[in-house]
Amino acid sequence: MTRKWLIDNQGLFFMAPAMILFVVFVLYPILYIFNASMYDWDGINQAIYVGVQNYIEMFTDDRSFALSIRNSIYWTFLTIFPQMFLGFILAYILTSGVPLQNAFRVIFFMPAIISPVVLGIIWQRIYAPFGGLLADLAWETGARFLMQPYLSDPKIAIFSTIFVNVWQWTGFSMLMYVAGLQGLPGEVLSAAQVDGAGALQRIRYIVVPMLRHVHLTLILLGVIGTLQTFALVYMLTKGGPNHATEMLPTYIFLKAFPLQSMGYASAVAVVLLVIALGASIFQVSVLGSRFTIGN
Amino acid sequence: MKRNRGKALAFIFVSVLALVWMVPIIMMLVVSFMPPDQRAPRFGGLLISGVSLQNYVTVFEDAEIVTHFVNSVAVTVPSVVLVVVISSLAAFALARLKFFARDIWFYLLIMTLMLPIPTLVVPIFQINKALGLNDSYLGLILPYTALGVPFAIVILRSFFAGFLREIEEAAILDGCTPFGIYWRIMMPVSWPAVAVVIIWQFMTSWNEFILALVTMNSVEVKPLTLVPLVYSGQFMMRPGPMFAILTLITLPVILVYYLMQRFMVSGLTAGAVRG
Amino acid sequence: MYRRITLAVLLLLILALTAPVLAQDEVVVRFRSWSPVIATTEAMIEAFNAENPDITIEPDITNYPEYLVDLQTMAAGGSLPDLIGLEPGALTQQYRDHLMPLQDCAVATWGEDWEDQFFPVGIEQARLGNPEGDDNIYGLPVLVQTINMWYTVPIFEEAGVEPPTTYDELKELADMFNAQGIAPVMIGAGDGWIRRDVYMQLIHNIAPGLIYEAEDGMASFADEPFVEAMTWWKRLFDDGIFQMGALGMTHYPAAVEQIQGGRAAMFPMGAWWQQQAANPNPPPLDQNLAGYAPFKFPDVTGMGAPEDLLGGIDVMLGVTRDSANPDAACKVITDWISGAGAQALINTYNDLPAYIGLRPASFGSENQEAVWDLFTEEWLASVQYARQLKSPDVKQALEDALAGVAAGEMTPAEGMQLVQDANM
Repeated sequence: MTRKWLIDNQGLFFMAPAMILFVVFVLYPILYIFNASMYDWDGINQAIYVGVQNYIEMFTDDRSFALSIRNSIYWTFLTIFPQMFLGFILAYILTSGVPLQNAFRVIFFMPAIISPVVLGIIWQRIYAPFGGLLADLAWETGARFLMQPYLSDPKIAIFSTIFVNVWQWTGFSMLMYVAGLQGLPGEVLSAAQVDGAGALQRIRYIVVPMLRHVHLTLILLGVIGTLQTFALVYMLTKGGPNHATEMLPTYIFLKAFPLQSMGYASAVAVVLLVIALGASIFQVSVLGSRFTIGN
Repeated sequence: MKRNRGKALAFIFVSVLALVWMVPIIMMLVVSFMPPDQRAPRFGGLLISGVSLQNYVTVFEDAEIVTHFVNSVAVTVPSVVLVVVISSLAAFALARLKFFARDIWFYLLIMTLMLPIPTLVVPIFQINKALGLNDSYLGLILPYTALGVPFAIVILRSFFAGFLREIEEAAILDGCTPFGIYWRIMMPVSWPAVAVVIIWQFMTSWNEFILALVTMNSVEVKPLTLVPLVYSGQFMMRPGPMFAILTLITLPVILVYYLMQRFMVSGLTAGAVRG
Repeated sequence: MYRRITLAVLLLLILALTAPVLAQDEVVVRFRSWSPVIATTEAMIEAFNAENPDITIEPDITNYPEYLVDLQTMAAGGSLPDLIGLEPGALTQQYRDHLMPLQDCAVATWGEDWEDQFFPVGIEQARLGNPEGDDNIYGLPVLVQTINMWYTVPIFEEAGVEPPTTYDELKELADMFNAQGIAPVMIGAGDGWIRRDVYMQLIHNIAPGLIYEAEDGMASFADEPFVEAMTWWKRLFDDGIFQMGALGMTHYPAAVEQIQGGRAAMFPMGAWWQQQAANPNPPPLDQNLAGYAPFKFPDVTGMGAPEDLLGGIDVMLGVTRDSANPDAACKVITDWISGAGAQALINTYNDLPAYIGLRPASFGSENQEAVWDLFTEEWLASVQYARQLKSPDVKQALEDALAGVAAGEMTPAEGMQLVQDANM
């Protein structure tokens, strides 16, 4: 390595800290889980090599795993799009000069910054079938339809959980759209915000397409969020009842720690990793490297 | 006229929705002020029979809230700072410099953009164990930083890429080194993008749960996110103190957000989601 | 501006690096558990230190599920504390290789006949799940318990009814309380352990003791009695014996809060419920245990309820092999079982003492004292069946199956087949 090579490649020095962290805490762990997924291992005692046995079991005889895949699909579609839709409407209203619009923005965004651990505990009180907010409302007002086994019916529980997520993150979508709308040329926005017969058309055909980057960013962040979901489910349902709200991260945790199957948990982690990488590659190939941000 | 009516309707719509939106947060506050001997208040806690500060007294007497707060700060602040420094350096290099295998590195980094922390919880636990970092702040700071860097790089890189070549060339003619360009020219005007990175990383590190759960074993080093679990045994049968804890761990984040919120919108507008 | 930030970064990094506490010279015993709660643990430490000022105890008490996670990560990291809280059976067996046999410590403290000084169920269950030929005691029992039902006295008095002894009586009460918006039997069936506790009482009602034979492979979990018990379990939901949405509630804290608020007529719990009387700021029902009375699980099947109760060890303590001060740890354990620390513990009515002869210093009411005597003098002697199972896999499968059957996702027979499949 000559001095000249080093000068020509001084970018490497700028990259070095990121590269080191990447290798130690990302690349090595990835190789690690691939390796660990081939073993029957409790994390403490000697590991036994089992080849692809963990994968075979996962895909042929593991209802909880199948449920967590199903739930991830539900979660992706039922959080991202409602959040975007409602977020856009709110952003649109809250950039049109209604009174107190800044205060409203703070209110809607607030859940996004609160720890899901806290929210899980609060929402348990709202959903509690006995003595909970909705159950008491139903009992006192006679609106019996509010009295539902929100978290106890395996058919409903996942949707109740998703609802909390939508409540939490809609404000974030709103804020991204507020930023996007404010970044539009002034005349586009004011033209769109004149009421009348053409207003919806103007929004539909002019404003929405111009916010393409915001839509894509939100989809990207939504997918990341879905694949990361742990704390909310852990606090709200612990993945139950009977694994009906299991997500891949909660299942990895359940297997790795309470059930002490680190090898099997690693195999599930590999599947999650492949999904995540697939999503990343999809994003990059469709949008290029510019996907989140403008210019 | 018509326009005003539309505005009034919109105002009513957001007001009602905002009220509903706030219910869980109001509930958290109300229950935290419940008299300590009350149980099962009506409407899950929206209606209490009296107001008392006793729960907060109990929490400050019986729980090390301040210690946990310091732990959260000691993990979050370094990880935010490290992410800003490391990712801005890397983003600058990726945007403005040529070097060996540049594109390969870039694609490697953005491939891991979506890497969920739970995937790596087992190996990171083992790495921390090997490095002796379990139960220490660094055991969280380093992984949070490593996993936050790719997203920050993507944001900052495109911001840096937007600079005019001419300014950079003029600086080089004046004898400025690449580091000088990064430090004196680019960084000072990049605050909108940096603000977005700061807020995002702050939120992720402050609220991260699963890695903290397996890394921090001793009560005295646990960050705030784990506090409801730490004390749920102790305050299990006392919803008042429990909700006082929830309120106390939520207030700092709301305060930080309130102080940063104008940067957030302007930062997003100026840099991040420019169309 | 940026220079100042750089400085701050450096400072913080140095802080973070030097944060680990420096090693100390004195005799330190690190203690981790989920029980007793921290306030009680501190009282026990204080009582212990009054006589042993040279030993420092460092307690860390966390919630049970997170305690398990911490324990596992510490075991994997080779940093287990000296003293750990254990449940008999599955949990103790998981950590057996990390635990020190304690019979020598017991003999040194209480003499050769030490086992006779404990309630028999405590000694029996301390060895639960040990492999053939391994008679070691890996944990010494501190507290024991019964599993039983409780009712809320004012609610029963107002309705003018008595605790049910048969299923028909139970059903009649349930219909009445449901109409009043009161939970007939309040259960937080979202927690696996309480599902298991109720099922264990059902199966002992139908075929006393059979479940332990199935554990050892002498019977199948898919056999008729198990399926029948599972069918009864499902009926408790379908007939409205349990409150609506029971499966989505935790027993602690959600169900307990409703019980304390006077919204439950009956509830499954255990002897440890007496500790309600010692909590700070007790709600009216909790004061001196005025509002609650225990009763035995009704004979739902009509086959004659076995008089032998379900129960066993609440918490036992083990010393880890990594411990640097096993002698000090032995001192702490034995004090907490029969010495000053034990008295401090029992004074909070936390649960029943495993060591015979301990009694709280005072009672707040006659009802409370009567309940205590009923447990220690009558019921504890007839605890016959272990609440715990030996294998973590069977335990998990049973808890899953109970949830699945209650939710209507599988039939009782399918559920029990899953448990049998896990028993390999």
